Amino acid sequence: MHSHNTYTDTELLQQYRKTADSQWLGWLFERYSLLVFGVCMKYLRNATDAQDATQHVFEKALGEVGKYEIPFFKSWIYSVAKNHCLMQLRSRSSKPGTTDELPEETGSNLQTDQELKMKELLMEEQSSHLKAALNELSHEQKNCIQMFYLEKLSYHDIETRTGFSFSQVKSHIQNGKRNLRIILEKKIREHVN
Amino acid sequence: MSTKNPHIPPSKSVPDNTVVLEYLNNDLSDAAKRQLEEMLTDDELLGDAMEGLKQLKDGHEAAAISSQLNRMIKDKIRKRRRIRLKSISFPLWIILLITTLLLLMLAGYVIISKLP
Repeated sequence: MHSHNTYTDTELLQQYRKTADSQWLGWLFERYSLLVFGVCMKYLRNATDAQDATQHVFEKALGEVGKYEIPFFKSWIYSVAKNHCLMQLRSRSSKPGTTDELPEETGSNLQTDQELKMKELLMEEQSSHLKAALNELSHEQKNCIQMFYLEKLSYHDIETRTGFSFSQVKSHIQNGKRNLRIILEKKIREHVN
Repeated sequence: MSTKNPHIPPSKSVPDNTVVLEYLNNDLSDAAKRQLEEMLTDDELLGDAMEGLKQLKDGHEAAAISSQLNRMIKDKIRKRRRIRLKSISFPLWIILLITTLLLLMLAGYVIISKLP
């Protein structure tokens, strides 16, 4: 007998469809509860609101999950949570007297399947393209990328060394990676032409 | 520094809640922390979630919230299963009633047909 922990998200959903037993959904939702709360917390910046939002997200998921095929539960629940929070923020900011702003997007939505594997690229730091591309990044992004990938420092160590917050470190690494990819692609295209 | 190493089975698309909580409490080994941070750098859901969870006081607050959320999920699932069981037991009543009526009609027919 398998433990529910050994099932993938897709297998848990398949078991739910096969047996119509909500327990399978319960196990799947518990797997994501803390992370969905974290996403809500990022956007709403208040633990009580984030807990309410998480509850809404799972209520919605409970109603929707049997209606159609969900190939990637992880991406799906992430969009449900994010959209719910953005709607909350919009309705808050449309009320007079409230000044909530939408949190800064990290730009990670722009990630594509073609995303370069930074590890491999940075292993080949000798590559003149990469060196030049790194120099084109902002000072903060370049520093964070170098510290995380080359010096193998943890987020906490980078925070201590730079004085940045966790969010800033994450944002500089993610945006730095994205910009690096764009610069490298451009350089490679120029080189080929 | 702790030596706790998270086990992220290949079947899982996200780390266990316990691993996330240990990370927030700085209880993971360097290697485990590295594994998780590389994941969160590449993973939108995990990255955003960690950014949000970092706003809490510490992993203990997150653990308390996590237990509340899991309790809420269990309650909802329990209610849903109870409703489903009720809906299953309803047709059973109907089936029993119809079977009884049919048997009574059959018995009545046999009795009537045997009358002179």
